[in-house]
Amino acid sequence: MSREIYPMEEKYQEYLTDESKNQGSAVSISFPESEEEIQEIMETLGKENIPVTIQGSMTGIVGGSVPVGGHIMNLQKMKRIEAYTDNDGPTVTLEPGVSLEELEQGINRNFKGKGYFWPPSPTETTASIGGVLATAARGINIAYYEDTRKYVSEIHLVDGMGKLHILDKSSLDTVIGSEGLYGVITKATLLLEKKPEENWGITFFFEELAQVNDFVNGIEEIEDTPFGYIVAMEYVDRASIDLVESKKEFMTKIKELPDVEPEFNHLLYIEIGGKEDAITQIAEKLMELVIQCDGNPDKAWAVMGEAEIQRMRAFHHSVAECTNLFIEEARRNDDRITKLESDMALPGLSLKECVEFYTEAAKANNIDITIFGHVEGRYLHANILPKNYDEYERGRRLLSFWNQKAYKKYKKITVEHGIGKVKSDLAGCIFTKDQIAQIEEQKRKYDPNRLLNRGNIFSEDAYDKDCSVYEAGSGL
Amino acid sequence: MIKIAVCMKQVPAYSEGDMDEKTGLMKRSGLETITNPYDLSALEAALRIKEEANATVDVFSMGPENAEAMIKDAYAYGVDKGYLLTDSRFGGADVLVTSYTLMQGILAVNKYDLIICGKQTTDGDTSQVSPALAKWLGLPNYQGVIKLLEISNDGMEIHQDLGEFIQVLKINYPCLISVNREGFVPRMPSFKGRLESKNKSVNEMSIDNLEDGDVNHYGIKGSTTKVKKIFPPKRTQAVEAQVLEGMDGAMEILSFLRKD
Repeated sequence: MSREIYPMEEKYQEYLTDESKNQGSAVSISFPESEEEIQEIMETLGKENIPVTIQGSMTGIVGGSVPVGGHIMNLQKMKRIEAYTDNDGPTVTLEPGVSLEELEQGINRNFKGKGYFWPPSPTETTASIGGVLATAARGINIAYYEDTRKYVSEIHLVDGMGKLHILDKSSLDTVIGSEGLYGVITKATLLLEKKPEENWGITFFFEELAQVNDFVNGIEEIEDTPFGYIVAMEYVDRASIDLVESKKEFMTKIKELPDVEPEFNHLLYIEIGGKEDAITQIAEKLMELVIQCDGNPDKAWAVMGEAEIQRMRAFHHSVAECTNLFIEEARRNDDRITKLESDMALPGLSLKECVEFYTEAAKANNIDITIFGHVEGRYLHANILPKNYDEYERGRRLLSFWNQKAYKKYKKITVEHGIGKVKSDLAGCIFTKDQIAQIEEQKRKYDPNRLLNRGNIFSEDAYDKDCSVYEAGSGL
Repeated sequence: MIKIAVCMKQVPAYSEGDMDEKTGLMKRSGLETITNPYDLSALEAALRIKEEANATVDVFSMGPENAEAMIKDAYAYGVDKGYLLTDSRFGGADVLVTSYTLMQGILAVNKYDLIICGKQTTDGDTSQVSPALAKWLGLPNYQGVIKLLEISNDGMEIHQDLGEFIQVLKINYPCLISVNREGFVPRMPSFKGRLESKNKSVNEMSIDNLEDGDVNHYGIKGSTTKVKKIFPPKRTQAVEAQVLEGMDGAMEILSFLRKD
């Protein structure tokens, strides 16, 4: 074997799973440190027809980096940040193994005092840039900054035969969000933005769903201007709050946040960015609005400044982390239990309708869930909290029921986590025939031997899937 | 009415600052700042007293002009008045002079019943300013306070964490207390308070506002100690950990020890 390729040993066990907790298998593994090394490895494996699973930080929750036999190419050593430039707007060129938090530290060090940042803000800051681009992941900033694709100008891609492609903005859509189907991202140039001059993070609490629903409707009437704009709007339900509070003493960043008063069942977090006067104007509108909606402005929290905003974001990150911890604890009793989380957008529904979309079926079937997520575009995530395998099985059926209902209306059931392997059996139903034809065309171009990331997006029987069950929308 | 003064400091948000080799002072310019977390606990203690009894809460801080933002932030928590002791001649002050300056500022404003301080700052870490301030003010000084009970216009009951045991004392005003973080988890600043704070101003005080106007008693000139060096701890590199049991582990340890 090449010196860069190692046979699988017990010490590499951790690389057979990711945050989805699905278990895979592999016969070899590599940790390349350069683009050239990746090309050599791909050429070698390509000649032997060995499938390759690409891994970054392995923080994905849909099994995208779980190997299905063959070779694992782990990019954790590709951590060079090669260039910071500020000629025609600030950019950073880096290798795919750099994490979001390393990127932020690098930007702060090299562009000291300039206030630059990379707007896509997936919750998991240890995620690698390669993984973020492969899944087109996004986060709390989506309300204002929108899609990850806007903030990339160039990608280097090594395809399934070891050939290097340098893709500019006109062809990035091929790669971003393709979950590694076409190649290994070996380098990327990211476009930075200037942080808002000031930012406030305001947390509102409500007793009734109708109140927070009306509040959101009112907020959506407020127009953004270049001087003052809503950067983020996040919803958290009581079950999520309770889960965080049960675990927060072990979480350094949030253990000193006060508990949410028990009468409040809904939390809405809003970030406003811009100039101080404009932020104050928006804040005053929110004050009037919360009173009109029977909310209690005296109980709302308001922080300002980067460090305090990060503390509030840490709270929101902890909602997802605590769900993962819950699943970990359940797995100690039964390791067949994995994370079950919806990843749907339900645009056109009110916030109340979105929450009820999830809660009605969950209550009817006595299944505990948490609901949290981005209000913009109605990207709420419902997580099932199974305490045992029986609840897990019922939870799987519940998730399938939600997927079916959403598919019936929107023909789309995954938004920001990717499809990976966990939902790959649904791909034949998610994509149109034209979309499938396009994917196949790109696959023939970049990976004709179909070696890369097998099992991601399309499972073996994806094309034969009977989608009529999703059309009909069955009950549990 | 209990008149409370809380001492607060603006500190760097992260430990990435450099030291000026010549003066031994932290280069603070350009660093992101936060309110010293320990002082937020001091403020929380003061606000709880305000809620339980009839009290006013004023904040005092010694710092550069941009520390005004910290005091304005304190208004969002429920502070009544804020005083910023700011003067280039205050720069480079050690514990002795910092406590002296705070004392001068406090006495120039009012006769307070209760002074509340946080245990330490995250940049200086000395824990010496509060007892020094008490000494300058001629006040009884109670450190390590984790609980306040039976608050009245004359005094209160405090619980002090003295390490091996908790001491319960009844204390009278005027006095100074220094609180531990675990007893006083800070509340979040209120949205309403933040909007109202926009209209409140911070009172700035320089040497010229203090009874002692001798510049040699302040700042680096008045300091009797000088920082020799500030440096972050050496970061260790990530290494691969191995799990070895039984004889394998013992042999590995023996091999390691023999290398020396």
